[in-house]
Amino acid sequence: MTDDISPAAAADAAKGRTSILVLDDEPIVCKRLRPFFQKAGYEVEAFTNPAEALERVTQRRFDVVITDLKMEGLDGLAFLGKVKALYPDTGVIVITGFATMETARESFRKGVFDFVAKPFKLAEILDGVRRIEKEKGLGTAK
Amino acid sequence: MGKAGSRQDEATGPGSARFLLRTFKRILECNTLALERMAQMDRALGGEYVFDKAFLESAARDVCSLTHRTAYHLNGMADEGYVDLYDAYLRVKDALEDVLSGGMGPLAGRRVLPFSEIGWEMEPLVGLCNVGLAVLGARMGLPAPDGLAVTVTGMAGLSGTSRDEILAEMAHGVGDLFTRAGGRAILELSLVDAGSGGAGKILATAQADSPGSACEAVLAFAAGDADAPGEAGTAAGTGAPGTGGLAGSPGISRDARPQAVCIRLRPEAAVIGTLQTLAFDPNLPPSMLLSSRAPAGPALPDRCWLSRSAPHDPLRSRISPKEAGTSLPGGDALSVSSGRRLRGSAWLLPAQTALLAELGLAAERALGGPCVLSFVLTPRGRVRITAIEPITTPYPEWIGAEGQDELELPDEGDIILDGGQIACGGVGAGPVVPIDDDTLPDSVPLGAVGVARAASPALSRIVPRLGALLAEVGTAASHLATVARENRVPAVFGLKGAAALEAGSMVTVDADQGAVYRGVAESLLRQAALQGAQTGTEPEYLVLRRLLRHIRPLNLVDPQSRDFDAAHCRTCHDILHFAHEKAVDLLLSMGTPGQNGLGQPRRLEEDSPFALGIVDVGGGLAGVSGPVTLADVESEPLRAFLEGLLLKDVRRDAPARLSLGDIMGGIGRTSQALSADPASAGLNLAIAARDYANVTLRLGYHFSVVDAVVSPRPEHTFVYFRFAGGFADNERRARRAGLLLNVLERLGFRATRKGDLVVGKRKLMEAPDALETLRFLGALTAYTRQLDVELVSDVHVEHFTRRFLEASGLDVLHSGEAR
Repeated sequence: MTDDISPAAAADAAKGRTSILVLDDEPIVCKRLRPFFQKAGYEVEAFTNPAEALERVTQRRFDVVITDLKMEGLDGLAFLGKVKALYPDTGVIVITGFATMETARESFRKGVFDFVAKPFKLAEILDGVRRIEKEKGLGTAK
Repeated sequence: MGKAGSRQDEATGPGSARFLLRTFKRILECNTLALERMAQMDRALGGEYVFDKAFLESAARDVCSLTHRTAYHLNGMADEGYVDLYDAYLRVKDALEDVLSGGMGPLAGRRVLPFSEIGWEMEPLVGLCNVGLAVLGARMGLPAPDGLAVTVTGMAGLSGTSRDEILAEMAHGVGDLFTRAGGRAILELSLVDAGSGGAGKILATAQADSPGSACEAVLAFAAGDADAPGEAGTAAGTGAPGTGGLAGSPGISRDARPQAVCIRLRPEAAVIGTLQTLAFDPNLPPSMLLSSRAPAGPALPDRCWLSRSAPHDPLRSRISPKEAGTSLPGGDALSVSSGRRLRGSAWLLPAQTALLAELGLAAERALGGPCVLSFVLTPRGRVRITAIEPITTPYPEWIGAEGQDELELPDEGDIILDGGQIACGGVGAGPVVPIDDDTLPDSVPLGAVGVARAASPALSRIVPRLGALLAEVGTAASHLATVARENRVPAVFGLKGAAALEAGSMVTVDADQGAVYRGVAESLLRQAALQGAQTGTEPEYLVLRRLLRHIRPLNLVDPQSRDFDAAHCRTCHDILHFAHEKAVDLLLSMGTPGQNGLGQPRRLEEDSPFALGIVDVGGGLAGVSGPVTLADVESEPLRAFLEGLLLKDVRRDAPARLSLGDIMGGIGRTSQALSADPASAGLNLAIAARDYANVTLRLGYHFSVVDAVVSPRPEHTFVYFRFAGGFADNERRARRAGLLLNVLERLGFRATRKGDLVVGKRKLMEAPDALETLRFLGALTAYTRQLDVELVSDVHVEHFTRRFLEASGLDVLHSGEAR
């Protein structure tokens, strides 16, 4: 996999900035999260289109993936499965409007680190990212 | 529930005391749950939450459902006596469903709307120019013209059978406008792109000077090619622009694109121009572009790029050559220079330039994104806004350079303060100005960063002028936070150290991060503007605002007013409040001596200034019968109120002085009070549950109500206080109302006054704070009762206010040390 890392991604890794991919088919979620994480010192790419996000994760690795579960076109769990198959150590935070036991169980089997339920506060999801950083020994951004 | 009443309570069917009490409690539950949901929606508006459409739908429908259940329960208590309330509920429900489905709201059928009726949420119906001018002028008090809108509905109707009616409405509206203006005036008309997807562009313009010529201009708009941009529209020119309009046929259907017309007064112009609030130039930091020129002639305009941050220094300027002899506004003719032209003299003075820049930023905040203001400078040198449009220029270079933006963002070393709660998201920069309850709005520069010790409701009047707001004490759930969100002013509350910021220093507030940066963080401002971090631009936020408009406002205030009926309920909150008040009335009437059902209220056996009976509706009192001492009161809010009521040192032992004039002044009111409800005259009642109290006092001829829920959850907690009537003459009643208003505002209430009616509301508090507030209300009630006729001058109002504050310890709270 190391051969697939682009020079830009390598440069970012060298600078110790944690990389985050956000995927949610509601544009407003991406518009809120992207500048928020950028200002908190992270490198962020945000997608509303699951297919584009899927293409992007095949091009490079992200430290953290934040994804909605319920999207049109591609099930969030399927996206998670793909990410984890490519990069088993990527941290995952799931955004959901509801958390059922079955969904939670299946998500954990796919390596979900944390759940955030809509509507959520920006501070909640930042805490989630920071827990992943601490757990995986990533450089703290702030 | 327990045995709240007499031993005869056996039946539990409709009409029984037990049924009434149970149903009353259900009304309370629906009320508090609905208020909690409203509060959550309101906090979402401030950017504290990331939400989606599903949240909007579920939240709105939850509030609506709770409102319906409340109406249902009231009718259960009243034997279907308030069936009209269902009609009010259906009107509100229909309005909410219309918003959720993307409709234009309950005013969608209106064809002509004066600016005074236009709010920010009506942009689909009237277009950006109408909304912008109406909000900036009527709501924010900025120099924007009075006017009216011909709505999307009105313009569509001009091609149908309603044409003559619509023209008559327009003529009438213009006539009213001239009346308000004090005579005929020149009108400017603009055809505006509108509708749910309308971008707000101005498609054509015209002028008129009478109702008739205005109608002709609008007909020309309706008949003309709407795709023609700008001044080249078919209606160009003055005088008789309607010559082409008659060519249109009433039966021909128009282009499906919704359009509206803005008709407003056009001030006399010595200089005209535009201000673009966000201008692209790769060689400059974020800037505004100001263009100005003489109203007549083909002369090139002056152009000036201004900093987006106060004091808005010029970053670059190009001043056009002007003919010798040209008069500058307020100045003398230019002297002749070489080549018979004078170079270097601008149309606008620096102070006027800075004012325009601040008006542009205020407009941008209000409308949620960068915009273009058109303006005139009058011959007297006054700046007047004349139109608003969205910016249409893309910024591809900046978007491509986003990588650089990240590197330029300020780092931790530039942070002065961080923490607190987001009251309203966004980024704002400006000079620090300390503000408090006594600060006058006009003394605060436009675009300042206001810093306050406490987020007091009294600061609401200053909010529209601020570029950002910081407070050391206060929460995102407070009333002031609501006002900040209404005006889209970035605000952080609970931010320690805010009040210590150096006055006059330049800072940047990033409310989304809860951070205050030293100096002006240009990159943050640019990022916020470009990336839509001004959350007001997002469709979800506009929908949320429109939903809240039908949910949150409380219009019904005075239960004694003849307007206090179901027909005047216009929001969910109105219905909830109406149902609650009527339910309390029903319980009170059941509690009157001699009635079956609740049985005798239990007497308070304390050294109270008046007799008080208490009805227990569940966990409010210990024991089941007999007199009550303070120790028997288990209702937390009622005990707090009584503790305040029984404080010795705020009571005046000397009898109040009565004069013959006082007695005569009260005669008129005497008969009203006696005829209103003879059975309960002189009887004071409290309804108490563990976490609830309603105290209704009829002291001689005044009426006082305290209604409170105190819960471990701030969203459930509220305190409502109302005071009306009295025996003293009109002047003394007005002074007493003044005293009450003073004290309530210091207690943190949102207080209003109409004559001698004073109403205060405070909600979303922590339990200890609420209990302390109730103690003060108890003390205030005892105090006010005693000094009724002592307020012989306005000096006395201030004197007795101060004495009350000192005696009750409130002055310590006011100074902020108590926290």
